[in-house]
Amino acid sequence: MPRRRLHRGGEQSAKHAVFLNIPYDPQFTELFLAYMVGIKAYGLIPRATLEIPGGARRLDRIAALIRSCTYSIHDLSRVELDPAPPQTPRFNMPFELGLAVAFHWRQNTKHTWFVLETERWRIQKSLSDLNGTDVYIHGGTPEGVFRELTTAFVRVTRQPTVKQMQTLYEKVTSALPKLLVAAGTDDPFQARVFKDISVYAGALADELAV
Amino acid sequence: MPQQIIRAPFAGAERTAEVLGVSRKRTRELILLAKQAIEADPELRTLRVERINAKKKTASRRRAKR
Repeated sequence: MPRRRLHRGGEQSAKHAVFLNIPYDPQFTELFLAYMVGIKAYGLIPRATLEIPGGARRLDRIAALIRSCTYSIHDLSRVELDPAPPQTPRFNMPFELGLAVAFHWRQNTKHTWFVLETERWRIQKSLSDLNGTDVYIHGGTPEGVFRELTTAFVRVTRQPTVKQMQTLYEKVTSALPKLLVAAGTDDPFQARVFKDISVYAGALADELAV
Repeated sequence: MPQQIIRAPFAGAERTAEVLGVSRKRTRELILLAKQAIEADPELRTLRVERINAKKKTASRRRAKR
């Protein structure tokens, strides 16, 4: 029996893809899951640099991944210095935001980007080039992320409620240990776990989100 | 008669798996895990029924308009 065709090639998947630009650290696990659940509740597909293996052409692949997505979410909450010596700030997230903004200009608004932060006004100090841009403030909580996503994705066809997203979030959180065991890791920021969370949250959203 | 579009029950999850390169076997396992989670939770079962009823209501409204 021929395999069922689920979508019209890359064009259809790009239309639903969201590039997720977040810090990969244990303190960010809750918000990472909240973003994953939120994106899936909207019927969209999360993409992240987690999927990209290391190598000389990593930057090319990151750029191609961002360019292939219709939306991108950039969480600039982590502006603190990395505690591991030598203490350094993290430039990956603002750098990838810069790439997304460049693609937005080049592709004539086919790429839409959103910036999220924990604290109001802080970005005016950390990245003042964005003054005048709407920054979504989630306050560092999953509920805050869901609330801000409802504002950001106002034009997406599927419109889940914050309560629906919270319900999905609870289920994904309780399934996470199983997904970690299956991947043989305790780190949720692994490609395999990222993909499993996407599919699992997608299945829940298919069944529960209006 | 207008063409009817029939959507597979887990089309969203399957499309995600295809885009992310998750195997069909693993996709089936994850869908099964999600189904079990819903069955085990009365609140989720209620939510699913609400969703199905909402879809039926929309479909009947569409039919009435034609």
